[in-house]
Amino acid sequence: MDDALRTVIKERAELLRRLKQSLIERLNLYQTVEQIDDDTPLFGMGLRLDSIDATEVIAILDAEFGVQSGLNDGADPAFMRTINTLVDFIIDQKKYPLMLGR
Amino acid sequence: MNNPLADIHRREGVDLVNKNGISVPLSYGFPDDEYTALRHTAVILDYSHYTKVVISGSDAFDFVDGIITGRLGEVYDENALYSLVLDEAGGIRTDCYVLNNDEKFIILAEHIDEQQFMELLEGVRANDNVTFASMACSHSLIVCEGPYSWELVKECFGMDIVGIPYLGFMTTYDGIVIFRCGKSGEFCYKLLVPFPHTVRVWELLIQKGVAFNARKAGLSLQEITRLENPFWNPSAIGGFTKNPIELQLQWAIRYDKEEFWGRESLKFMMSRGCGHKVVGARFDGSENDISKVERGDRIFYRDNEIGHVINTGYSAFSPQPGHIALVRLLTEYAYAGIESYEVRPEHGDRVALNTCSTPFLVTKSFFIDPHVHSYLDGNKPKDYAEGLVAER
Repeated sequence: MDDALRTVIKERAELLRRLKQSLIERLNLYQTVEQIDDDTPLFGMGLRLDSIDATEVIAILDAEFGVQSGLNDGADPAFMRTINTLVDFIIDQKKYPLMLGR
Repeated sequence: MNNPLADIHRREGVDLVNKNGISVPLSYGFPDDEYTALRHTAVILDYSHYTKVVISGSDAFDFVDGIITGRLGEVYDENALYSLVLDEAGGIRTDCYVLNNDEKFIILAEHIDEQQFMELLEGVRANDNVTFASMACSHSLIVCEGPYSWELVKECFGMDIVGIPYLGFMTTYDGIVIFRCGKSGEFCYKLLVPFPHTVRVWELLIQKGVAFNARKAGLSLQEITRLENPFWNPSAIGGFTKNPIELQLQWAIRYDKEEFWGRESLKFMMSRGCGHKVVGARFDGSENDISKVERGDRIFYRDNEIGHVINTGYSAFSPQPGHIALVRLLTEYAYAGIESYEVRPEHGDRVALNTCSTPFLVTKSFFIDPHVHSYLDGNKPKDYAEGLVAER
């Protein structure tokens, strides 16, 4: 693996780890980081979160990653489907912060 | 085994397929239309091939809980759980729904035939405080699935349908169990129908479905929908891996349970670490080149072989139609959002591959609230997008 790919993967792996750890701590999940897969759904099946948990997820994005959800500005909530889509959202928002609320 | 709908299917000349010993429709001959109906309105399917078993008795709870990877104690009456049943090596034997029906447990399993499943249960039954009863000769399973399936089922069975939560169910006065679940990402209702009512319910859904432009559909529809929204799918991927950790299905496993089949093997795999993981991918290349990619084709990063394709197909889902795949990669390479890999097909030119998160799509159902929207009522918006336009 060359340095460029290693850097991309390392950044994503670190975001995934931090997000899972935050969810475990703030939502009192029973799993360990290793037991939560990257494509785990957040609602319905998967982590089986509810609407109250959803506000906590939004708070985590803000407090832990400095990212605004933009949901109050009419942003598409589809980014909240899985752990991976949340990380996609974090990466996108860090790259293009001016597109908040798109 | 019986299927009360068999005569109707034969009369209509539908392509049938034998699954778990029961003949069910494979396709009604218009796969594109069946797919469009699933993703935009509703489809009606005969899923009588599902294994359907009732487990009861004073030890039924402990017995079922000891088999499945999920925690049965979290399932209230008239609710259900999606879970896995593992083999001794920790591989997936089948997935299933377990419905808590007044201290009896109904198990619906798609990928194991009933005789096999009953033998499996019989093999571990310790005493007579647990009894099994087959529903194969008493109940059909009819499925209504799609973004407006809730409204179609409501038209047939009344307003209570709208109140059924995800993984909840209700039983009608004539014994029909209406269970909300699904594996396509759309609203879905499985109707467990006693044989005397099967034909009537099937015809009622078809008749009421006309107003929704609903279509009858067959099992072949799963080939793409189970790829778009991955679940355990042994016919497509079972030959490559049965490992729930590789398949990212750990959410269906309660590691904190003291006992379930395959638990020790799974924990061993967990401690050792998995060499591979399955992730989603989209191809980037010419239609001609992509069409030559097949299951088993090898994936490379530069000149290092890092995995292989385990399932592939064309998703017509808008706004991002295209060829999609599930790929099994070495764990250190198995992340979404990587645009550096390529497939080297056995019989074609190299094709670039971009890994991505799954499910591959955000379904129309995601934007529909049965309490607010309607397909039939012109005074209500059809979905959130239409509602926003109306507000402006």
